[in-house]
Amino acid sequence: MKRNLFVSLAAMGIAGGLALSAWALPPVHPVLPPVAYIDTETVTNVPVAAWQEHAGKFKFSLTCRTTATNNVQFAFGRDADDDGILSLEESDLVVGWDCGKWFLQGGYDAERIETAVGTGDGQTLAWTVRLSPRTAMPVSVTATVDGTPAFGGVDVGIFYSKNWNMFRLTGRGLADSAESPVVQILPDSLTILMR
Amino acid sequence: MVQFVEAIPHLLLRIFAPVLGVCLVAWLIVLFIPFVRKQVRPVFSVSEGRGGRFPPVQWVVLFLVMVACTLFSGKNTNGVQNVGGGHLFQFSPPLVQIVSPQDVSNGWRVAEESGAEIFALPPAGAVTNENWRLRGAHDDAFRIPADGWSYPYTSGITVLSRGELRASIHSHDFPRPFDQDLSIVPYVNWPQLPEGRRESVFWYDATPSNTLLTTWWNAALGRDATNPVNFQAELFPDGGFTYRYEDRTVRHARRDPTPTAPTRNGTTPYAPTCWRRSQQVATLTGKGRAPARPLNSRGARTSTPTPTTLLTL
Repeated sequence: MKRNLFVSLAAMGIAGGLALSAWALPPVHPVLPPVAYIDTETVTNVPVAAWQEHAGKFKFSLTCRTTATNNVQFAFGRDADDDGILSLEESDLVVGWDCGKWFLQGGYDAERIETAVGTGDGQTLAWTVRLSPRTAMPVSVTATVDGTPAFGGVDVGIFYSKNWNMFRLTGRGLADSAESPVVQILPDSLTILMR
Repeated sequence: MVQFVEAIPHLLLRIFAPVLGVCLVAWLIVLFIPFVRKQVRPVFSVSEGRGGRFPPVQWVVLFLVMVACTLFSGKNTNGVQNVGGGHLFQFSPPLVQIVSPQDVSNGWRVAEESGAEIFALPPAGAVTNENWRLRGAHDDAFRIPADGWSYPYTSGITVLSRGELRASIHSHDFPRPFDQDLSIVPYVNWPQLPEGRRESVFWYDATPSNTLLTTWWNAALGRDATNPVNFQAELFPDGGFTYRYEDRTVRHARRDPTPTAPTRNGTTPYAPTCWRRSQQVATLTGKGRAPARPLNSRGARTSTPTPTTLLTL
């Protein structure tokens, strides 16, 4: 009886440890607040903890309703003034769907890179950035829209920075909360400690 | 010269009002406080004792004190001063603009709708931001490359849907036109706008004179559907810029007598150093400045101060 209890607790401990190590940075699930203004813009800012230096991969996916009259975009950056808001100026990378096209911008000043891959009014943009284990700098990226490769040839350096500490999700032209996008961000790392 | 003549009454008022005020206060003190009157009387009666031909030293000192109070009264040291209820704005290169609440309430309001061609629908060839029209925008931005127009210091202008222009997203090169944000209303919500103002768009156009017109047409001031405004900014190749405001909701404002020679589209000509009005619109002119060093890609913030808000509606 005691042995079964010990084995169970050990198994739970190992499973929990593995889960914690893989999800050391909590996944981000931002939810847009209801539209309150006539311009239909609704925004939520999500502070995130410091990134893991040893994270091997950085995964991002955005699933949203994709119509010719809506916009869902996600910005990555550092909240330099600590006001809890990731302003336009603080955004290093903006990615999302805008009235018929997926786009990618290395900041609001940068040229917008657009792609028209994918069909249907519900699509998923996803990418996985492989990071250097020593410098945590992006080494390569694989981006897809509904499984179709996208944004090929883009400088991989814009896809990740360990200095980012704030995300911002923006929705425009969304009819109701049922269109709320789903965002998943996951640093993919696994640490096993042996004694 | 005209501006100087117009400024004379203000200068006179500025000089004499404090002098009169100081004299009145001094006279009241002497008159109603017995102790002071007792102390002061022998001092100022010296001249009478000597025949009263020449002012004594005490009178001269008092006069100089009052003059000094006049000269130094009301001056701030931070570069932004209040003059006649308005605001002085110092740009670099140095240029001063004055906009007072009185100017706003009396000067730039539209007296009549006729002749307001400047805020007609986008001219042929103008580019409309279709995405903003389709899905609306409040805190969004995009960059207009310098193609067909030019402006010093930059190869393009970043336009913020909330009503701002910047040479770079990281610098505040131009003053904010309003103390509240603008937003573009998507077409699905145009029925919520007042009748006759149900087309909310942003458009821009390069003019034959190498300037850039950027126009917020029926933009919601304060993100409020009941408060649509038209606003236009024009950038000139010499570094100047003009802001134009229009408000058709006020129909009984006075007609400003200042004549202005219309240019293309009936716009008010660029005036590099003055604040000029027309019958249809009000303009605010100024000079841009070299953009501040932009942020690096990882968040170092520029120390460039944000220009103070100009107009309060």
